[in-house]
Amino acid sequence: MISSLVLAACIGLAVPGGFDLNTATLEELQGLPGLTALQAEELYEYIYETGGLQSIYDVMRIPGFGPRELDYLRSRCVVVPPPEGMVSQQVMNVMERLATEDGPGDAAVDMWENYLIRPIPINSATSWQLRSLDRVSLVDAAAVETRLKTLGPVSSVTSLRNVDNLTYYGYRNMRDFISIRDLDLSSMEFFGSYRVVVDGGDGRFYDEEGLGTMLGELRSAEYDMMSGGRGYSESDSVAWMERISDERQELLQAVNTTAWEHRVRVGLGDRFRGGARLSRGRNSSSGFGLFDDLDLGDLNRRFDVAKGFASIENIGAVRQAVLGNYHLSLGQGLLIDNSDEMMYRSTYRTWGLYPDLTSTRQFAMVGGALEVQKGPFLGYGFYSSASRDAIRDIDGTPNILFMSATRTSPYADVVRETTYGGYGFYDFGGLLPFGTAIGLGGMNISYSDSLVPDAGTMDIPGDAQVWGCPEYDVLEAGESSSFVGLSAQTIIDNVSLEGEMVRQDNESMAALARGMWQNDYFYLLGIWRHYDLGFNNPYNRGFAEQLRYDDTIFEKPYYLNDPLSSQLAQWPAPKPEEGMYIESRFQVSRSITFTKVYLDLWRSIPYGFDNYRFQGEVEYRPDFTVRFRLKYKFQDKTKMHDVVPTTSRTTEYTFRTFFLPSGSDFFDVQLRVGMVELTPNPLYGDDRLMSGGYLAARWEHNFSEALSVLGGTTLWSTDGMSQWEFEDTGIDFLDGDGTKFYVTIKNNLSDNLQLRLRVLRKDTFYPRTGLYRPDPEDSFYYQGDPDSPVRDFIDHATEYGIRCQLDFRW
Amino acid sequence: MSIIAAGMISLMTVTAGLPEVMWLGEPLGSQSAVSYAMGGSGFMETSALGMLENPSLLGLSEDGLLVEFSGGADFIVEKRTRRVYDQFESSIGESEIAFNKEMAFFPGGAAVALRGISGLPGSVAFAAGYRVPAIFGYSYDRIIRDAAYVKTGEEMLDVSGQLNEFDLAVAFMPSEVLTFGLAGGYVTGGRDVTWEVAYVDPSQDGTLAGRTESMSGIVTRGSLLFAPRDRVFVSASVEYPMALSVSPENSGDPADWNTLSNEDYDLDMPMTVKLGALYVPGNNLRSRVTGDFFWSNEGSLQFEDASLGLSNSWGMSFGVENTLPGGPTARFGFSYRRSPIAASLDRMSFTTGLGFRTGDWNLDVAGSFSPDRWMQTEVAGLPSFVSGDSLTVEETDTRIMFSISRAFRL
Repeated sequence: MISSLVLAACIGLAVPGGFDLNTATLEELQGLPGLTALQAEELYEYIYETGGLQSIYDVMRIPGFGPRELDYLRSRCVVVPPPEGMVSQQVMNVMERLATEDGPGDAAVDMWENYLIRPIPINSATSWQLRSLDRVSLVDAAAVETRLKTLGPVSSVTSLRNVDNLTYYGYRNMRDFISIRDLDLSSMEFFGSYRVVVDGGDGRFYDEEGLGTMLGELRSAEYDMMSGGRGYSESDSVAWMERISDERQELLQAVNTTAWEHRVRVGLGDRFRGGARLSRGRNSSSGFGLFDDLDLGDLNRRFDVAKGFASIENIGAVRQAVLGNYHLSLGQGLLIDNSDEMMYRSTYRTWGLYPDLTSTRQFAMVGGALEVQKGPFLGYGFYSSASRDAIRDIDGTPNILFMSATRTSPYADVVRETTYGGYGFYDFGGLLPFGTAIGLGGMNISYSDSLVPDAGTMDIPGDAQVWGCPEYDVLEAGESSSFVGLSAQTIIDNVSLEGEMVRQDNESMAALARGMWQNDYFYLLGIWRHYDLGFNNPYNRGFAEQLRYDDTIFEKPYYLNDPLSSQLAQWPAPKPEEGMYIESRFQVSRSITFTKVYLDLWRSIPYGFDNYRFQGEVEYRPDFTVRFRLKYKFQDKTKMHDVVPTTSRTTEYTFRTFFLPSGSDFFDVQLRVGMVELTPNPLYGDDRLMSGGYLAARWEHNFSEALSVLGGTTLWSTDGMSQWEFEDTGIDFLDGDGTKFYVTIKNNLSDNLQLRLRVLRKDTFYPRTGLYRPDPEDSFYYQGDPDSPVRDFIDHATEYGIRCQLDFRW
Repeated sequence: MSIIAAGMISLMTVTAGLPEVMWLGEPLGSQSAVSYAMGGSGFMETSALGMLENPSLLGLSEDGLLVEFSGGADFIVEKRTRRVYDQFESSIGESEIAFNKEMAFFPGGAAVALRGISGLPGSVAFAAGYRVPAIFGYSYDRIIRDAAYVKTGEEMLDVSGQLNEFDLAVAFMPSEVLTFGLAGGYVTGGRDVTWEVAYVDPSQDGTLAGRTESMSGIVTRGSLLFAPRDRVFVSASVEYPMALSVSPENSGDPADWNTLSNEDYDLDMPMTVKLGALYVPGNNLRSRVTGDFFWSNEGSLQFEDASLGLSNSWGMSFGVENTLPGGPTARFGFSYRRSPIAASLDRMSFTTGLGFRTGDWNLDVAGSFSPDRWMQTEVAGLPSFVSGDSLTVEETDTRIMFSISRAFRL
């Protein structure tokens, strides 16, 4: 091996074009005069897919390569065979990308990683399997299935490249996860991975709806009760005081706690999979039973999520059977998608059944799930029994299901939820265009104790605030709900049409229809959705502009008996709304592309307010190394407010540039400014204008394929309009004025060991002025020291973050 | 020697001292800039200074004489804030009441390691040296104001000193894959504390108090190194210190100071178990990966038959070294350490560094960054510099280290 390397290096110096084919770049291959551009590309793709040539004679296996090309390459280049068991650099890169995308909604990432190691045998794949891959559309998946079913098996993945209606992006997104191999059900190859993540640091950060805010609100509620500011009965007053006080003490234990994650996954050939996870989130409270009725002692104090699964695949018609934790996302997500997260305007959804080792807790399914495929029939069955958090009245009655990062005993594990259901799809492929199917599903959810929504126990007695929350008021008491869903999809050339309708047993319904027309240079996506006010499926993750309790009283903790109840505002189900969303991407020329343009027109169902939102982004790329993007966003939204509705008009401009000054450097600068105008309201008097903006820069330098360092900084200034930006590992909210610096080191130490280390410092400044009060009763003061008045000051919060992630694979 | 520092802190905390991060500064961890850049622990570092802490690593040393010197500087920035409330008892933020900066230079150590010279059996190696296991460096300054924001006085606290350890280590290598090591050290050092409160009004009595402590003790270590396969080395050790003898001397106004007497006393030290691994992947960057874990039994410590009220502590560190082709050696790492005193004092550090080689000489520089934030109320037994329950301490500890080493082929 070493001698081969030395030989390669020597030849590389002596012969023009002489290099190792396995490590050559596409540009180097295209620079070989003896190969056509297409042949160079084919060769590059072949090496990419197979992980490397074992000898120079392997080139004869590539379509379009014969003795002439073999002789030519043999005289000009060398082949240094990849070491046994080596994972190709391309696969490492994909793993690296997937490692940064792990989140509560990303159970599929684990399965994608498995596919990188044991790819899907493409010749027996169905469109159902292919669309479960990362960002592979229904049109792309159906195009491949059409090719395989009509023209027979392919001899290489590369030959899919020119399949009708398969876009370049679709091909690129699936090629890492598929191969021309056959399933090897006798294989006992043992593979797996272990991940440990420590995410800590220290300091204080502004989190409008997080732990710091909740602690402040709890203390304020305590004071309000102590001073007799609430009209409780005497017994209620004592009970509320105890509860609020206990909650605050519990949450104080969570301040600045370090996040830990241990996750192990194993696989045996093409048959068996297993895994387990033990983790705790940053600033997260623990101390609850990781497994119901099982005292795990110190583990309960150290961790807040425990998960595990065992699954078996490819037994006759059973494609997959999972015992333990699983994630299921089918149709348009109106019937079942058990994630803790719902992204606004998310047009992409992972499809299928996946074992679940994500951080999802409230919606985690624990039980068993089955995926069966027999002929044109594809069916899913699932059963889950798991404890769920809920808001509890002061007398202990469960009020409404609940999800919160600031988890405390009164809310934790209040009811046991039993869920079962199924979804069956009949595939008309062959009779009708491949990708055409209808589906019928049903689900029943029941609870160990009846949930009794009661606004009277949520709202502070005698409070002047008008309750006004139709989304809550419409809920009825009960201990079970059932749902029936119907879905359909078809393909017409490069146009996909999909839809799903779900009806709840309270006569309410949700419906979504979606159409997409796509090719390499253009796509047009349209989504129509309607969610009834009474439709309250906790597993609904359909496309929406807002969460169910956005713009309601649950955004105001100080109006609630227990401020922690306000976390219901994070409930990840769509708001009752009806609307039409249109999105497009259009490449005008080689240098100009409208990267994302969308318009959403929607109506709030409880109030009938009409809203719209438009965004347009255009990219100019004069050269491969430089890109400029300009984005404009405008939103006009009305929400119910005290006395009269309030309309907000948001305008935002973003200018972004990308530079690639060398092959190993990436530079990115972004400038954003925005403003929000609020219409007059008795609360404000006149029109109110808020503004904000930031300047961010990021630079990444790759020292080698195995080592890169990324550094970034952001400066922001806001006047009431908070900003947000995407960092390398997630979204970050920026309040007040401030600066931020971060450095991320990525190191692939070997084929099976990867390290990511990140350090962050964030300084936020909030000027607090006008605090002088001549009246001592009205003054601002230090906590615990009311006799020490406070003058103006700048509240300077500094947050430090240190995150270390280690992935070991075998 | 971090356990000795921890033990001292424990005693002081229970007897109305301050938590370790303020009172004693930090244990140094590694005395070599090479391993300091790789997570801060020297347990798996094959330098001369590292072999004093883990003598079995002599099994990985080259034949000849290895010499190493190190030193550094510690820069502590501390901000103290109090939460501000409005008339509705709603918090509107935190106002800064004190801001302190302290920079202290310290010697890291000096050591020699010897192996494979004529007259010595090939299966035996030695190391000897001096190292500084912990430093005491803290300074606090606050202006005292009345309700009208008029300065009425000033409060100052100053802590200085260090622990020194003189070690001898020997290793036996019965086979190529196994090494046993033994080491012993004599610990000595001292700590000076001064607390002063001075008022503008000369008629108001201030406070000036001091305490000087001299310390001495013995520490022993046993370790083994095993190479289970190519490129992988694992090591385990037990560190067992004898009781630390402390001779204190109070000065000034003891009534305002603390209740510690002037009498000498012995302090039992905790035992520490360490496990570590070194992995050399064999990649183009000639990477080295080190990781280690320690566990210490502070939870069982007693003083005058009473529990010190501590918890067992543990920590881990992880580091990577990459030799950039044609460039210097780049290192980085991170560590996590649980405090035996209170969970809020747990500490996480990021470390980084560079190594340069010229001929037989090596120059290594390293830096670490550790942020910390805790509330006075979260640590039992602390005196409060100000009244109220919301005193919050935000501290960052930035440390720079360098070391110079050279290998002589005898």
